Amino acid sequence: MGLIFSIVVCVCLLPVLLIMFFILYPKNWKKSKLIFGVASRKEYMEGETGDTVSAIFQKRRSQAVKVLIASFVVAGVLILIRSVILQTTCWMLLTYASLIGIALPFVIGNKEMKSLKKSLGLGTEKKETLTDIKNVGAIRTLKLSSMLLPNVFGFLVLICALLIDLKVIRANTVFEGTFLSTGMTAIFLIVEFIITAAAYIMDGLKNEVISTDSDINANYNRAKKKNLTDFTVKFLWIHTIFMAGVLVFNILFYSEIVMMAIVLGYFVMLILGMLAFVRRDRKIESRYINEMTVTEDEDDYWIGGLLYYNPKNKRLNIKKRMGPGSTINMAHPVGKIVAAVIVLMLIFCFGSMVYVGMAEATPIKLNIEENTLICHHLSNDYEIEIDSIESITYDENIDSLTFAKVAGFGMPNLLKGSFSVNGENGCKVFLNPENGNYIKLVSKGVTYYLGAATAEETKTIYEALVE
Amino acid sequence: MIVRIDELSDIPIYLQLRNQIVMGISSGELEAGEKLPTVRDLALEMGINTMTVSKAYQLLKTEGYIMTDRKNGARIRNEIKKEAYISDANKTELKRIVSEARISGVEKQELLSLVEKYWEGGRD
Repeated sequence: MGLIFSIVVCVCLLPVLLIMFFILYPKNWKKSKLIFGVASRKEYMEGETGDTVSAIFQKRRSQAVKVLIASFVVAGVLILIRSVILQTTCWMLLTYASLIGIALPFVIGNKEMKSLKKSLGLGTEKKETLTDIKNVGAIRTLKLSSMLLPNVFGFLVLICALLIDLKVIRANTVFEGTFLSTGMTAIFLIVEFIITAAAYIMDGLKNEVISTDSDINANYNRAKKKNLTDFTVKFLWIHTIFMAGVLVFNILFYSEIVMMAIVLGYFVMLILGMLAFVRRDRKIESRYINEMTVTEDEDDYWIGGLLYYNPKNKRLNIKKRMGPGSTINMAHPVGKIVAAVIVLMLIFCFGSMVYVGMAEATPIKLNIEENTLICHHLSNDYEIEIDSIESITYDENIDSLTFAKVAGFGMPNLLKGSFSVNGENGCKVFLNPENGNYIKLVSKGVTYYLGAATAEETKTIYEALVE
Repeated sequence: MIVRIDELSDIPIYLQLRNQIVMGISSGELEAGEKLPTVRDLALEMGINTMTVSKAYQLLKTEGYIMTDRKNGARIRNEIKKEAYISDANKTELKRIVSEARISGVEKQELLSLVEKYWEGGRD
């Protein structure tokens, strides 16, 4: 399981790092529209300045190569880790560290390029924004029908999941009636709606002005937007197929390995789509490189060449300078809120990782205190009055049970929370499956599967309860 | 037609927009009857307030360069009034430009050829 998880993360993270590397550090900077997020100018190509730019570029690129190699090596080592939680924590740390690490030389390069630009006295006299008045609102490539179809299909998948949960369609799944599959499918569908809305917004992004000829601008922007639209439509279909795959394989033939395989397939498809997008985008850029006679100087609005901050621009969504899609204007009130939410989410991710790590490291406890059975792990999870126990059994063959988590923890040494057990919904589980034994009891109509820190303790508690 | 807005200029943005549209009409980049973008679309594209674009359009309409109606939006007038007259404000502005050019040592012929170039519809 840990190995499959590592493979999934590897497939997601490493190609993303590679794509980032090729976008941020193109092989030939002289043919690039931007040098570390600073618009390329002919002044940068000549004489001593050319040598300086070349030195900056080579230095920062080689640093990025080192980060890339280090990330691949560390990823290889992480595959060997056995503890799931330790592995997950390390993968998360590697993800953050490698993404920051690959961007850091770029940010430093951006700072160096800006100082060079300032020392050459370039771009300080005017702050011009360019608009091609003939193309305003005219370049749209998104067709509603192409976006609607995957959404409709996704909606049908949701209906299917709902009918299974309502037992209109009998699927004999462990999740039947838990509404877990409906919830999951609904979340996927919401993501699909968000992608659709984002695609619509991105299609209306400001047109780039690369030439004084409006026809060239129109053709260039149309080609770029068409590429983005094609990628988005592919993305939507991949997402919809993933939704259907999760429903069919995970819900009907529940298996964590199959689930991981589907996730793996999903990311492989996405990355292939992304690669095709980047390749086509490069092709468009090189096709129009000789037509680019006009440059809009927005370098100072891009913090580190990556974050857009322009209080004078009233737009929220801004076309990314590098890579697909759009970004947000951090100076916009909504942009500030989004930035705050992202920071909070990062803190939450770290916090939850610490919490899960504590949960794995802390052994569960089963105590009898004043006629009450207390299940304690980090806090008192369940308190069962002994008088309310309707039936109690003890078994040492935990492998005969199939646990399907609805909410809670599902780790190799801890099962805690609401589970569907052998098709019975609403069961409360509190045990360490590595012990092999468990107590099954029913209290106030709720079925509990309980265990203590060790197999011996579980047996002792059972005997005490029976007495 | 490319509109250039200088954010550091002392000239208000609505006036810069108005001036550039007038220059576009003069150079032939904007033809008679040609549709202009809606106030909302242009404001969104330029990243400025809709009121700014609206003010520029209003001014152009008052001066007789464009016409607006609810159905078709803003269009360049087919027949722009030819008064064959330079306003006092423009005369003062021209006088300032000529004076500054003379002080800085620009040759008369150079200035005249620049006027000729702009007259023929040339842009920088």
